[in-house]
Amino acid sequence: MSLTIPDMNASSGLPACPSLAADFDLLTSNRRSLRRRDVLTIGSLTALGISLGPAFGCTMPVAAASADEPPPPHKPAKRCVLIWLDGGPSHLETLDPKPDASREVRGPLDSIQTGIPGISLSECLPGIATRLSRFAIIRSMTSPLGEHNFGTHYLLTGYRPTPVVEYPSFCSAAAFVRNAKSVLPSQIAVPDFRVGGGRFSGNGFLDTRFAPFSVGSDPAKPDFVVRNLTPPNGLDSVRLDRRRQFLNQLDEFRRRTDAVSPGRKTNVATTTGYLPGSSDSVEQAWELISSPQFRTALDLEQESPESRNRYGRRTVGQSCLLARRLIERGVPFITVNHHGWDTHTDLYTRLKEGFTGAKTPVGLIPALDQAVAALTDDLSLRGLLDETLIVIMGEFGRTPKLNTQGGRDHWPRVFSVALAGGGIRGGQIIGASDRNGESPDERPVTPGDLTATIYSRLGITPETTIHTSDGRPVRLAPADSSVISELT
Amino acid sequence: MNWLLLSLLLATSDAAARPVDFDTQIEPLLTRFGCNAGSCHGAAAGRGGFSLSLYGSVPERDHEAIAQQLEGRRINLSQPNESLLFLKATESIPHGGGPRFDIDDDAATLLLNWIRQGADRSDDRQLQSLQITPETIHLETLDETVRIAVQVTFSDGESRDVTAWSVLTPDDAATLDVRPNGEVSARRPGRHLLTARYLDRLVPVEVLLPLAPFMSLADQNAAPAADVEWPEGDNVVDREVRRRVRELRLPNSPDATPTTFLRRATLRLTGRLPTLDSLDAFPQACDVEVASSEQKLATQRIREARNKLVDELLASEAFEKFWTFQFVRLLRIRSQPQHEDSARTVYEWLRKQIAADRPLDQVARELITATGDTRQNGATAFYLAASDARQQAEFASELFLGVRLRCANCHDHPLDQWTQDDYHGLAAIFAPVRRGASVTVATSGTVIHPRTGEPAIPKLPGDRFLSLEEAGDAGLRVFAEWLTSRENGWFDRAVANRVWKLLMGRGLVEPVDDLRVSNAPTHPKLLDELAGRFAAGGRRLRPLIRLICQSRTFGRSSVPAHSDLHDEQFYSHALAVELEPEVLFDAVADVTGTAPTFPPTVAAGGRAVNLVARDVASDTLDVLGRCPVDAECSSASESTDTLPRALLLINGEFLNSQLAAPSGILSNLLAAGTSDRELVWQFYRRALSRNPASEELDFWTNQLQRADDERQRRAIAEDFLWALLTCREFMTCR
Repeated sequence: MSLTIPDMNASSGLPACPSLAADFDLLTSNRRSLRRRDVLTIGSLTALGISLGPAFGCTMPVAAASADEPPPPHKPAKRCVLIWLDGGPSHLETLDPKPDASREVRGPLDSIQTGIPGISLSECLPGIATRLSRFAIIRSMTSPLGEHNFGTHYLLTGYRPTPVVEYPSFCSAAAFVRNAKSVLPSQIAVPDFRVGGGRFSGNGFLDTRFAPFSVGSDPAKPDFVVRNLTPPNGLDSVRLDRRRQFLNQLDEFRRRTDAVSPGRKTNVATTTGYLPGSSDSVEQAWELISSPQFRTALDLEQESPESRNRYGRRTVGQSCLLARRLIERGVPFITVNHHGWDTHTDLYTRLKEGFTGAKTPVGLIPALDQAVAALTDDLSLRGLLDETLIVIMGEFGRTPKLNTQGGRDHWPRVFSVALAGGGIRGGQIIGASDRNGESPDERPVTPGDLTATIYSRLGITPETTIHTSDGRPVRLAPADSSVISELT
Repeated sequence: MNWLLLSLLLATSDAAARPVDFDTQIEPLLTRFGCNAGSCHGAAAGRGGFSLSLYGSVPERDHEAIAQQLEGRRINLSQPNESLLFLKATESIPHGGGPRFDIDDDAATLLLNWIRQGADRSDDRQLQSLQITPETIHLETLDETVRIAVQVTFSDGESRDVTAWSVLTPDDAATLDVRPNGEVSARRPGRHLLTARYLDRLVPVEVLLPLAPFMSLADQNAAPAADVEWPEGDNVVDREVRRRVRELRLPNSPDATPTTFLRRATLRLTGRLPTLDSLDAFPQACDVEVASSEQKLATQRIREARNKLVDELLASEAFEKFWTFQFVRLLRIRSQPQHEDSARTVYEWLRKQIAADRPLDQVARELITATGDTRQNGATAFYLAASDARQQAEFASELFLGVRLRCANCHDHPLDQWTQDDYHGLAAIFAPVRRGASVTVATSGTVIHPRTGEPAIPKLPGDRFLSLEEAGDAGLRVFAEWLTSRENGWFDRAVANRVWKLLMGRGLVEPVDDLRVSNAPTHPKLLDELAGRFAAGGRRLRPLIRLICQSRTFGRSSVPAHSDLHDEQFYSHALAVELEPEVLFDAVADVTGTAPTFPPTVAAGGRAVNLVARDVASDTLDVLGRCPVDAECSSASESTDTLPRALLLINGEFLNSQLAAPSGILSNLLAAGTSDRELVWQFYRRALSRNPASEELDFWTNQLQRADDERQRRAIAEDFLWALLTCREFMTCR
């Protein structure tokens, strides 16, 4: 199948957009595969909440494989760590350097060779460079959305934002379809989930209990605690239990009174009573408070100083360390939110040095590199890397030419993401940007494709349909997306 | 002869009799088959080197793209069926978008006829009107199919059925089955919408299928009919709501009990729980001692008591403060970092407007034309909420018009009438405004129109361009006058919709800042009526609120009349709504009787609803779910059911410190030797605004009696009070 169509652009002067053309061919191919597959429609959200049968969880994730398709090369990943580079990382200073381009494109950083001939990365990524056999890098991500909130919505949901529906992030949607009951939150954001300008909730149209749980404080700080996890003095377990019982009793009184309201008819078969806004999160909070597991995971003091230093003492390092501890205890999705990548000015200091004149660079990239290297080393050592998908990305790339303030502005037309673990075939580069890192040169990949791939790697069929509260069906990944098959 | 037959004959007999017109026939064809959609050649950058205007909004440009660009290869006059346009659309050669129609389809014939006739364009014919019949479809069953017809009239007098050439889009594909020939059937019961588009004209069609299939037919027919009118007839709210309820055959819930109504009205109008005195007085006023056999008299008595209560609440100082709070939220008043002093000034100014019940059109005009020191002129608030002209235009359109002009920044709004000219034209009106410690208006200022690369010409949205004389502050005055003129319905509808939502829990249009043809109100006539009465009543807030709150609809029970009924938009029962974080915050303090927490400099009486700005720092309010300062927070599905909030309520200082407060009501009652029954009684009334049922009273008394000593008794009492303050009944306005 051809990925491009003839460029009829002779007179209009508009740039041809190969990515969009590719969209179309991919769309048709996807339609074909759709017919082959059973599109799984799972439960629906009713006005009052979720109505998923208990048996549902077992049938869900592996439904992708049907008789005429080869089995997937790797078992799906059980867990995911998303390292979100909030603000939009420069592809040219990180995963897609252009050492031969002009000075203003090349930028102030050098590049280094990696273990794989012909592939170079930023000088600030020695950790990833020496471990490149674990990483697949996509250098041909492309999107038209160069605004933080819009780009974030697109990258984290696979859908372009519309005023009609706020789509759920793949973090939340994965939690929703898996619907696993566990004491620990199904997704945790460290230190928070303030992404892309802060207007993106994460859960989209899904119930707020599928929003990422933010630990809400910085694990790099000595006084790191999760807010309100510990009961205050004087509130022992006897009293907590009593409060829980009292609360249930009050809600039950209300339910019983409502059920016998004048004129009300009750269908005994379908309902036990009516109570608007029953709170699932309160139930979960009770469990969490009494969970020693969670408290242990959060206690970074249990790590040796050497271990903590290996990740780097900055926020992203300690967040990745916390991510590892949570992964070890079975939390299925962790978002490490790395703030500060919106480098419109003085990118050299912010990306590399950290502060002017630093002897050892401690900027955004070195901090990230150290954290990612330690995280993949530790997961590998524990045999968890294969079942843990790691995704490193932001909402877009940055302008190919430096601006007058030594920074780069927003540039969604081409950018890079890195993936590791979770059955990803490492040591490869997928796609390429053109000479100056302006547009995809080959194999354009849309955020929809990436989302479909992430679902697929997590063992969730991207074609799975979920429903908004008013019953509108929504596919997890958009209809015109397809899984990046080379990744595995 | 029937006109339909006639036009069919005309259309099929000879297309040459009337040359195919590019603007009014070929453009709709391109839209009908998706060629100029935003995802195809209608994208701002086009696709595959071929760029069309979105939905054919700029025919001269499209004609040029088709007939002239690419050295004219898209059109082959000598061999029309060799035209690239034709070959691609029928996928006779590879086409990224696949085949759009077949070579023997009507579309192919029309397109070839146009090419044969020279592929010309004359701009002498426009679309004049579009009618759809029927405008509302009443279905009885899921199997039933109704066919709609789209009829257009052009400026040359021709009228024709263009159903097959129109784009028929269901609002939600899961609810409606819409075929290209105009056949419509419903997939689910309820009220659904579809829109028909021909050229730039969009018309909504409503499809209704009774919503209560779980009820027997006898029940369905009986339910709404059994609901008698108020003794002196309905108000407009009841009339319109009842009509919809009957159309959908929903069972109505009965009137709310006096205490429920009292709590609801007090919370919605003043953001506070009812006083303990009113808990006795109001049910008494509702009670008919004279002759309980007289149903009519009893209803009348209730109605009078409710109306009197509403009037008292409207006249209260608490009302003033609470609705000032609503406006602080609407205007996105912030205090940090540069507006510290101005926030107070703005707050006082707003408070004065509400206190005086000043006509809101005057308020809007003053906001739009305000200049001067932000610490002295509170009306400058409008300009403090945005940082540049484009943001200002978006904010203005959402706030005053209730429409989202922002979609028209990069392209004409695909679902509405708004164009890029409207967006950048409105931004151009705001371009001369300079923001800072004081707001000033320069004589000029420009906003670049992205399509032309030139300064945009100031324009009233959906209306005329401004003249050169109407520059600088004159432009702002023209906009303010236009916005609030009687002919411009947007402002009145936007206000009516917002006020409805604040009182009823859901907008007639949701989201409240997204009024547009393709997002029709649940009760179109009601919105018009409310807007009309608001305008006729001098655009004052209180009469509009009174009208809604005196309806029977406002006073229904929130318990649905049938356990399987999930009516969230037709008001067959009242909607139970969670207390806003600020209201909850204050209510907790009132029940526990603890000292106010905010310093009086930022909030009178220390109450959260009296905060002078949206962004006064408060972790507690944020975790409780306070809406961020720059957000509209108008979504219908706001939920505060989050884990951090649950942890805050259980472990946080917020409740625990108030429960333990030595000066709180609990401490006082315990110190005074209050009996267990009295304790329970007191806190039920304070928190839930009702007396405990005997079953409840017994249960809690029993719990308290288990205490061995005073310390334990206090602990149990605290735990009881904690549960009262976190139970669903307390946390909702129901």
